[in-house]
Order: sequence, then C-alpha cells, then structure tokens
Amino acid sequence: MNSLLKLIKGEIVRLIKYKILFFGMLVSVIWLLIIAFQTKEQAQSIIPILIVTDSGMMGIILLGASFYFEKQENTVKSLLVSPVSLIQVLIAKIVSAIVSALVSLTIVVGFAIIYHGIEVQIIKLIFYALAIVISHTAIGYIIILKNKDFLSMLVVFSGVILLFYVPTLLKSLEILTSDYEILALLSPSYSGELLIRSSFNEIDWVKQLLAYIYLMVLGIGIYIGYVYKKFKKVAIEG
Amino acid sequence: MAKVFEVKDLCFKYPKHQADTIKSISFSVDEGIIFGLLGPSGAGKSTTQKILTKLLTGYTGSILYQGKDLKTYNKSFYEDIGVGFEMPVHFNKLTALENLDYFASLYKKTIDYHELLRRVGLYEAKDQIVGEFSKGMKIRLNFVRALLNDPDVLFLDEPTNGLDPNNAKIIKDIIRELKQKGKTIFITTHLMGDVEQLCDQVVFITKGKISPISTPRDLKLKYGKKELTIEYLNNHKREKETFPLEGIGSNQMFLDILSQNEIETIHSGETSMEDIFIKVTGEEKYE
Repeated sequence: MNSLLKLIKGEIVRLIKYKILFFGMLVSVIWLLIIAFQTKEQAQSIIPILIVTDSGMMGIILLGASFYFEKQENTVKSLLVSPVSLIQVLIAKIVSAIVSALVSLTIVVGFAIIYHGIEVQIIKLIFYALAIVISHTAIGYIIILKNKDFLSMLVVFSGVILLFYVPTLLKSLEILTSDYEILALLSPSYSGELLIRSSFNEIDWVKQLLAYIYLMVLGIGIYIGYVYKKFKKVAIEG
Repeated sequence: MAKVFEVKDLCFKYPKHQADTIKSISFSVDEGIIFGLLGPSGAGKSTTQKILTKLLTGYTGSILYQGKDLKTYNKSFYEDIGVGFEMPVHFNKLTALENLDYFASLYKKTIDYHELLRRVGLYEAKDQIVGEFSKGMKIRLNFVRALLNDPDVLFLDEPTNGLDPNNAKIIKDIIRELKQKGKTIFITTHLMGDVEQLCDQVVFITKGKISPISTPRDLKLKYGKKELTIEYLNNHKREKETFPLEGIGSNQMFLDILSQNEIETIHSGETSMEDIFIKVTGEEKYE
C-alpha cells in the first residue's frame, strides 16, 4: 500500500475515532426528520439545500474540528517529518472529507428515495457532490488557516454562510429572477445547490457546466494558490 | 571524520518578525557524535532544528547534508532522520500502539518498536489511549516515535525534560547506545546535566548568534577556576583553605594540612555546566 493510501486510511480511522463522522451522521439524521415531514415535492426542493449544507457547510465545520484537534496535538508536525509529501497529506484530507460527505449524502438521499420515492440521477449527484466538497473545503481552509482557534473560525464561518446563502434567499423570495441567476452562481453554495437540483430536475446544461467548472476551478485554485503554501507554515509556526 | 551537516552563514527571519531569528551562524556536525545545541528559551535552537529538518525553508546561507545541498533532498530525507519534538505529537484519541503503527506504516524500514516500548516502560500501556497518558509517558512515546525508522541522524528536542530520574536515565542510556551504533544525535536542550553526560560537542546559541564548537570538558577547563579548596579539622575547629592547582604537589602548606589534620572535604574549583550556561549565554559576544 503506498503512502497516500495509508494517509487516507489514517484520516478515515481518525474520522471515526474522533467521532467526527458520528456527528456528521447525527446531523444527517436531523435532515431525515425534516424530509420526513415534507411532501414529495417539498422534499425534492429542499434536498439540494440540505445536501449543500451538509457536504459543503457542515464539511467546513468538521474540517475545522479535525484541523484544530491536529494543531493542538502537534500531529501535523509529526507527519511533516515523515516520508510523505504535503500534497499527499492534503489529498488524504480532501478524500476523508469526501468520504464523510458521501456517507451523509447516502443517508439523506437514500431516505428520500425510500420514503418519498424520489427519482435521482445517482452518478451525476455523486459527481457534483465532489465539486461541492472540493470547493467548500478549499474555502474552509482559507477560514481555518486565517484563524487561530475553532471559536474564531466559527465566527468568520457564520458570516460566510450568510453571504453564501443570500442568492438562495433572494431566489426563494422571488427577488432574484432567472435573468440574474448567472450572477447568483458566484456564490459557491448556490452553484452547488443548482448542480444538486439538476440531479432531481431538468436544469439548463449551460448553467450546470458553468457551475461545475466554477466550483472545480475555485476549489483547485484555492488549494494550489493558497492552502498548499499556507498549510505547512501554519502547522509549523502555529 | 565525515560531516553530517555543514552549515555556513545561515540566516533566517520569520515573516512577521523585524529582526533575523538566526543571524549568520556557521557550524558543522561530525558523523557518529552527540552534538548539543544549547541556549536559553527563544534563542533560536528550535528554529535551527526546524531548518535542519526541512520544516522551515526560506533561509539564506548554505546547509550541506552528507555533502549535498539540503534543498535538493526530497521526502526520502525523512527515511534517514528521526525527529523527537519537545511537545507531545500524538493523536490523543488513538492508543499508543495505534499511533506508532500509523507512523511506522509511512516508512520503508522500521525497528521492533514493541521492544523499545518495553525498554522505556510503556509496553503495558500500549493499548491505552494517549490522551490518558501522563506527561512523562507522552515524552517517552515521543522518543519511540522518533526512533521508529531506525534513523541515521536523530534530532531530539529536550528529550528528558519532564522525566523522572529513572526514566531519564533509560532514555540517556539508549541515546548512548545509539551513538555506539554510529548514529549521529543532535540534541537541543537547556538541561546541562544531559549535556555533561551525553554530548561530545556543544555550541551555545544566544539571540540567534552561535559560539564556537567546544566540548563539555573544554568548557569546564575554560570557565572553571584552577584551584582546590580543602576543609579540615584543626584542634576540633573546622577550617578552610584554597590553593592554586598549579604546583599543588609541591605546595608545602597544602601537604602539611593533608598530613597533620583530619580532612573533611576536598573540592576542585570546577564550574558546573549550569554556571557555564549562565556565563556563556550572558556574554552574547559571538560574531
């Protein structure tokens, strides 16, 4: 087994041991209760928001929890003096975030399929969920690496949530019309929501393509341009 | 003797600091010795160690490792070295063995760390969550972690700080055995007892500047007083005299005291390493 697989295995074991996965699943159970009390149509319209909240926003909180645990325990230092590269360490963390998101996704969507008989394009859903995780964890890392502790991270994170959900709010209040939806795609959460919605309903493929490219470029760009440079520095210097 | 590290004109500044933390230091470390980097807190010891272990980059000057520029080494460098941090570096919710198994899995070759756990007295606690360990147990586990890959060069930051004398002795014995096996050991510490017992060569670092390489014995000779103090009973009255060491064998007064009185104590004017530490790091005149 090469180093990357060992790192990924280690990250997933810690997701379980630190109960990060458990709390992620617990939140998913709350979503199940919400879905259970909706009609099929209502559930179909709310599930994309729940998935983005779960895979994206909750993902950032779980990533933060994991990062600050490791920072407190100095374990990143120990990893960085092992024969593994920083890229491998980061990929392992992204993969573990994806695993956590997929577990939640399976619970939420699985329940929706069984309980409401909702039809969904599974492959497309998973493919798009990956883009949501990559972009949101990258944004999460910006917040995490700029804040000394979990509490100050949460304060900044609350502001980011509000900002990202403005387009969704404007759309639901019918203030944001279809003519301006392209602008709303600038919000990674709205782009993610649009992609997930396209797994349940017909949505213009140009918008899907734009949203997908935007999330992937944003996520990978942040990882290469910011996280890679800053991660080691923060882990070593505190 | 081959050089493991050759450091020349090394300077380093943390981005948010105004002044250099390391100010143009030069030194070399011979293969197979225990090298002590000494100095007060915040002097630049740990920064120097982090640079040598490639945790910090962005320095100026040159560092050669085994004759090659340190910057040219990739992650395989870490197959060669072991790093023991001062602070615990373990996953608190994993057991000691789970921690070691995980880190060991990242190396191509590993030692029998079960045996080492036994030696440092942690074998019985191997299945215990590290979060439940005492400070001393975590320090010993750090030591085992640093040795997992049977490194040729070992960096130890305050390896016995916080250990009781028995456990400190075990760690020091293992360090000596590693030296016997030809390993090079780089110790960063402020515990002068460790330095005296372990180090072959030492340098002091103070405010980013470094002293010339010396040995604990040379330092004692340099900073110690070359004199001898004798306490004796003269007609049931305790008296004390100090004599210069030079020509002590023919000093008649000294010889008379020895032959005519009951001697209580004799001490050479050897300065302790603690005193030398205070004296040397207080001077700050390294250029």
